[in-house]
Amino acid sequence: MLAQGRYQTHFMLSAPSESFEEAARMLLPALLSPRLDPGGFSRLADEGDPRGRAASDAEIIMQVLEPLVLDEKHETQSGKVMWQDFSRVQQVIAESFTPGNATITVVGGFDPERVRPMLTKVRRGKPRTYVRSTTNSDVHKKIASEINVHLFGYPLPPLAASDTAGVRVISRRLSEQLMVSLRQEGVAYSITVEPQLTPWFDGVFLMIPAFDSTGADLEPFIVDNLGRAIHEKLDAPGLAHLVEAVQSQDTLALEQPDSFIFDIVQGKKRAVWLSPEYRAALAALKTEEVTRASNAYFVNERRRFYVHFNPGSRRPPPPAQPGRRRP
Amino acid sequence: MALTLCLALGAWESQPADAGLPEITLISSDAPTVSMLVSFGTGYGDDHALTGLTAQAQVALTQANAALPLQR
Repeated sequence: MLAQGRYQTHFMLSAPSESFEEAARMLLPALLSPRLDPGGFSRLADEGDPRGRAASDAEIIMQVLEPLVLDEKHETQSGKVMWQDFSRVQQVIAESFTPGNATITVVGGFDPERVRPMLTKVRRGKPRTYVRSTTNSDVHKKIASEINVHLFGYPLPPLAASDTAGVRVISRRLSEQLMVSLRQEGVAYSITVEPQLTPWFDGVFLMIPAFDSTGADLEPFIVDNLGRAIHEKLDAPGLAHLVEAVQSQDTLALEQPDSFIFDIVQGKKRAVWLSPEYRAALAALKTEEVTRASNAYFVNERRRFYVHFNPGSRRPPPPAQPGRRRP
Repeated sequence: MALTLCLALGAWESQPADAGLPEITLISSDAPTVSMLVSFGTGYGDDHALTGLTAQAQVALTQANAALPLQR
């Protein structure tokens, strides 16, 4: 499997525990010290545009957001890519697809003592240095789209374990509370509130697929609901419920390694959340810490973007009916 | 509750990228399957997608790995 990202490239291997090592022994050299066949490359060139892989909605949204978040001024090429000389592509692979520029995450039923040596056989290259987003403007955009989604983003600074736990708990709380209020109002059918921690931007994203098909501005309504949810007092039983819900997500991640890996692919650097330090911080979280994180990161002044993926502007005008004149 | 959770979550270890070696995180549990993610810090937007070189490298690597005799 490959996810062709804008700033990262992911390969994934999944296997039953008993056959994982054999498969990894085959795949790892092909990724970390590849020898490409020029003949195979020529056949690829004949097949056309290399970026044909279908992406999920979340991937599309993230790829639209990345340049917004990074405040990029460059236009990206949307047309067909011209196939380059094989030697130039080989050079890119030799320089950028190196073990030193890779992050390897292994999750599930395996023996670390046997797998670790397989990952450290080749030394070459160094990690890429990402440009972190420094934008301070509140990006406000409407983007023509097939989907109707409201997206809010609140940036996060690098967080310690206890702050990360606080942000995860608040995100869970907002998901639960906003789901009720938005459904009751008939505005939206779902909401996702999640910290997205990427090498180039950390933030909490609120993604709200809306019912509304008129392109109406739902932002004030959503912001109002968000403000009330943030400021509602959290008591001890409420905190215990939220912590348990977040812990259950972690346990589930380990029971379903595939799903967990897909989460990481989509920019959720969740591996560290399962470390003993972060788990302990989550278990010891206090209501004051949650309140502090709420006030620090979720106030409206800190919001950095609101994007409405809006199908209204893509709709063709309704056809005129014969025999009837438009007013 | 806490003990049960620790056992379910299994062992966690991580080492940063160092001298040409990758950043590695290993999280072992008693799940019946294993998933491995190899992420490279490069993508098709690196040259603002103007040359398409990285995009082609992505596809060439994918195709080369698709030829491996792994069960799909």
